[in-house]
This record gives sequence, C-alpha cells and structure tokens, in this order.
Amino acid sequence: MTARAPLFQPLLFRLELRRALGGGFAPFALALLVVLVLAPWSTPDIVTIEPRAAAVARGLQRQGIWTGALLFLVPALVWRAAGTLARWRQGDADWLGSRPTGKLAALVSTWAGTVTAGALLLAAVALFIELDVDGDAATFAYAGTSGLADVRRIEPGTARTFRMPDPGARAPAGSRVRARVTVTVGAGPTTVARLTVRRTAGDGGEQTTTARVVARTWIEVELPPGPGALELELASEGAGALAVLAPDSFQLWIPGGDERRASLTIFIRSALGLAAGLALAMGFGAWVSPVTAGLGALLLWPALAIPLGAPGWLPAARLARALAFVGEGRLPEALDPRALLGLLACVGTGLALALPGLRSWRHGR
Amino acid sequence: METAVETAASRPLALKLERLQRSFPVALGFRRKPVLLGIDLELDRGASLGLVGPNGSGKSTLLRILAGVDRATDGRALVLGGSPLAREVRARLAYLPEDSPFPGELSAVAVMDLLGALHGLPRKVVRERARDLLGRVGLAAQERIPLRKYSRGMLRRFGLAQVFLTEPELVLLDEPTAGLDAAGFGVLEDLLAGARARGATIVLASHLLSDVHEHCDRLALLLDGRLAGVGTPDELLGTDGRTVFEVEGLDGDLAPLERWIADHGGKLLGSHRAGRTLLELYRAHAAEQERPG
Repeated sequence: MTARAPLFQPLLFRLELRRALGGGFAPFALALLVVLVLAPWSTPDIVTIEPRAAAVARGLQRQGIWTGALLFLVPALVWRAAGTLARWRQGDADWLGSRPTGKLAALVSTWAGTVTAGALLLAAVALFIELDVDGDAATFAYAGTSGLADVRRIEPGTARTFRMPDPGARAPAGSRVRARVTVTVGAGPTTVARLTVRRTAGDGGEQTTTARVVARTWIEVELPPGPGALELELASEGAGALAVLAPDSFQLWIPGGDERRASLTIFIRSALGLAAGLALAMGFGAWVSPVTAGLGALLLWPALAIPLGAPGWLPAARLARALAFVGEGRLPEALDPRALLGLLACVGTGLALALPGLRSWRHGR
Repeated sequence: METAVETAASRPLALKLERLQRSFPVALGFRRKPVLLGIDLELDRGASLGLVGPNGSGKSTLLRILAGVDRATDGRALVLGGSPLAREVRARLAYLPEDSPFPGELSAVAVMDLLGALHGLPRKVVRERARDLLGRVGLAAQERIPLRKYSRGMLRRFGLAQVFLTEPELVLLDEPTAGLDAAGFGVLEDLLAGARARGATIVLASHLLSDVHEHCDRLALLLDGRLAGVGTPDELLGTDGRTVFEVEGLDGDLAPLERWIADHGGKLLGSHRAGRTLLELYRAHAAEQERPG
C-alpha cells in the first residue's frame, strides 16, 4: 500500500518562491521602494500647521510609501498567481503532472511559495519605512465608531446631542472622541463648532473643545473620567450651519503606544489580503485567462473590503481606512481575529476552484 | 489442432488501451478537433514499443495520456494495471516530454532533488542516483549549472537521466533522440539496455524510424490519430527481400561480389564507402584521451 501523499512539497514551495522573486522582480521592487522612500510625502511647512504636525508628517510618509508599494506589489503578484495554471499547462505539467504528487499538494505548495515571496517583500517595505521614518512616539489607536444613519444638520446658534455607548475598559484614561463635521451648502462658508462630552452616569464632569470649520474635518476632545455612556453635544456657534457626517460620525481613540506599530498592522492586513487574493486568483485562473482572473481577483477587493461596512472577517477589510489613519500619524485598530477564518475561507474557495480546473494537467496539444 | 492462447487476464500487461479517444476544443469550444480516434493496444510488461508516425499523428498526446498528464476524452487506458491518473501508477512510471520543460532556474542536481521529492524518495537515495545518472549522461561537470544555460543536447541528456531516477517499471520517451548528438545516442542505448535488464517496459515515440527500429521489439504506427498497424518491426515494415550488409576490411573491386549476388538471383541496389560512425569516432577519441601518457 502506498503512503498517503503529503499535502505540502517543500521543494515545490521553494521553486515557486524563487520564481516569484526571480526574473528581476525582487530587485526591481526594492529599487522602486528606494524611490518611494526618497519621495517627499509631506511638505515641510506642515510642521508649522499644528502641534502634532511632526507625527502627521511621519504618518504621511508611512502612508505614501505603503500605498505606492501595495499598488505595485499586489497586482504584480496577483497576476502571477492568476497565471499559475496557465504556466503549468504550457510546460510544467509535463514534468509535474506525471509525478505521484497530488494536485492539491502542488497547488498548496505553489500558493504558499508566492505568498511567502509577497510577505517577504511586504516585510521589506515595513523595514524600509521604519528605517526611513525613524519615529517611535506614542500615538492613539482607533477603538471604534458610533455612526449615524444620515447626515444631521445643526442650524446656527443651535446644538444637537448624540449618545455613544459606554466604552468601558476599552477606553482607558486619556482616550479621546472625535466627530466628523463639515459646513453645509448655502449656510455660510465657515462656522465654529463646539463639542462637549459628558458621562451619563457619575459625575466625571465634561470636556469641551471648539474649532473653526471650513471643510470636512474632525473635532476632537478627551473623554471625561468615570463610567457611563457618552453624551456628545455639538453646537454650531458661528454664522453658518454645521453638518455631522455619516456613517463614521463619532470615533473613539485610545492611547495606542508606539507609532511604529502602524507598519506592523498594515503589513499583517496586507499579507492576509494578499494571501487570500492569490488563492482566489489561482482559482479563477483555472477557468478564465490569467488577465481576466487577475483583474477579477483585484476588483473583488474594492468591491468587498473597502466599504466601511465591510465585514471584519474579510482579509484586508478596511485596509484603505487603516492607511488613512496611518496618514494621520495614528494606529489602525487591531486585526479582527476572525480575519484568519476569512483567509481560510478565501484560500479554500480558491483551491476548490482550481482543483476541478486541474482535472487534466494539459488542455491542449 | 488447438493452440494455447494466452489471455489478457493471465498475461501481465504494461498497457491496455481500449477505444482510447482524445479531442481538443477549438473555435471557442463550439467544435472539437479529434487527435486520437479510438486506439486499441496491448503491450506486455518488459516489452519495448516504438510509436511511429508523422508529426501531428497523436504520438505525444498518447504518451501524455499514458503518463497521467492528459486525460482521454473517451475509452479506457490501463497502465501497469491501473489508471494512469492514479498516484500509485504514476509512482511506477517515468516520462520524458518532448520539449524538456524542466525548471530552467534550477541546477540539474536541484531538479533531481525536486523530482525525487515529488516521488517521495529519500534525499540520500536521490543524490546517489542523480550523481550516477548525471555521470552516465556526461553532465557530471555541469550538474550545478542552471538548466537554462544548457544546450538543447545537454537538456535532452538531462531529460534522459531524470527518467531513470526512480527506476521506473514503465519508461515513456517522447522523441528521445531529438537534439542528441552521436554520443548522446550511445547514452540512450546504455540507459535503455539497463532498463530492459531490470525488466522495465519501454514506450518510445519518434518520427524517425531508425530510432524505434533499433530500440524496440514492437512497433505501432499512428496515422492521423488512428492505429494503422502494430507488430514486430519485420511484420510492420516487411523485409521486401532486402538485406543490408555492413562490411569492413574490403578495399578492392566489388565486381565479383556483385556477380555473386546476380548469380543468386539478387540485385545490388547500391553501395558506398563508409567511414566510422560519429559515435565510433567519439569513442575512439575518448579512449585516446584516457590513454596514459
């Protein structure tokens, strides 16, 4: 009786890792990274605009390099994965398909090789960024949103009150809340917004801040101490009317530690998203041309994972928002552990699509 | 008189093909182009079969089906008693594809390691066999060079070496002499002799009759996807009353020989002076190089 075929072939994995980084791709990616690192992602005068400007400048540098690197690396690797089965059918099948190794093992090992190549390049991006930015100040981390269904208008001289549930232990001392506001059309070009936050239970006092609003902006204040739900009063004190935007109207921010964690969280999200995308691209590539499969896998991401309401279990869900937070010099929320299950689901779907497509290693003469 | 007939059930068969068909989709899948049109064939274990036929006759497609790389559209292929798609069967066969599409970025030793690992062979065994085989095919000095730097002939030699890495029971060779130099022909002969001595079955596809005539005890002629004939080389090709002599040591007038042939009812169709074959020349050169002093 023959022993059960292994599900993973280390040498096949190494071959794909080598191929994914070969052909000049890795040196080209690193050269591009150097260009991205040298590019100015914020103007020098930003430092004079606000007290946190240095942290924001570092955040913009991180955001710019990450965005550029992801825009290059992800499509290139997804395209490569989408062409895996086509490459096998055109040649590799002749030496691979006649071996007693299983098709699933070949797929898993090849997928893992491409994912590892991508993860190595993403790790290089994170390393380059942190060496370049060289900032380790403490910053805030995103801790949740309390959203309104619709935009709420606040007329000049009036105020509206909103409630956020008690954040409890999620929000230690020093946590902050911010509201997303803008001026409204036809009600004056500017206004002054006043945000007051108080606790509904206990006597923790209240915290107030005011800001001049000329466009979409955040108005932010520290939470008063003590337990209880939060009552947020927003007043329009200028000549113009104010609008509270939806759906991420109020955000909770907690002291989040070292700002270098920003690159770590983007790395983890991107790597998970890449791993899922590569599996789906391989699966699609079993049925349609590599170009169509690659485009399909790439377009799924903005469709499924970018919207604010995207389920957290989707790998790389809300990556765009995470990059926006990084650009503010802040930290995105920690990864939803369910994203690992989402990754498994995507990989399973990709492999399930690829396997029947490999019913025959060759499709033509 | 009754003749004892050995049935297929009792005879150990390496191949049993029944109405094997293969067609490929064309015109965006609306039509199918037939490539194999119902092949029936049986081959005993330990036999050597030469698949001959012009380009496009279906030889490579048939070999791919036998190797488990491709799948028949209809009919049945039993290879070593089982489906060629079964892992257990593929573990016992080896295949040399026509175009040597091995990973060019890896060295010969690394590809041998990879192929051995895909067969589940221990690394130590693979290394020992690889060293021996690469030496036999004359690639010992180039075993660490990436395959993309190999010439076509070197790739072909490597392809031959990898076939015998797993000591297969069934050897499938697609155009094994394509790109081989004269010395390479000798290597092929040696490897095939070794495989035959182990009792392996050999199926060799070529459009060159000389390839299969020398190495096979049975021939199958494929024409336009159909099996046009199967038999021993003599049965299939017929002797047509012709005899070929290769004579050495004669340097004089051949007229008496011609008269002798005519006296016995024959006719000399032609003769030409022949030098050593290229293989003989290489071997003589190699022997001179090895001679001490």
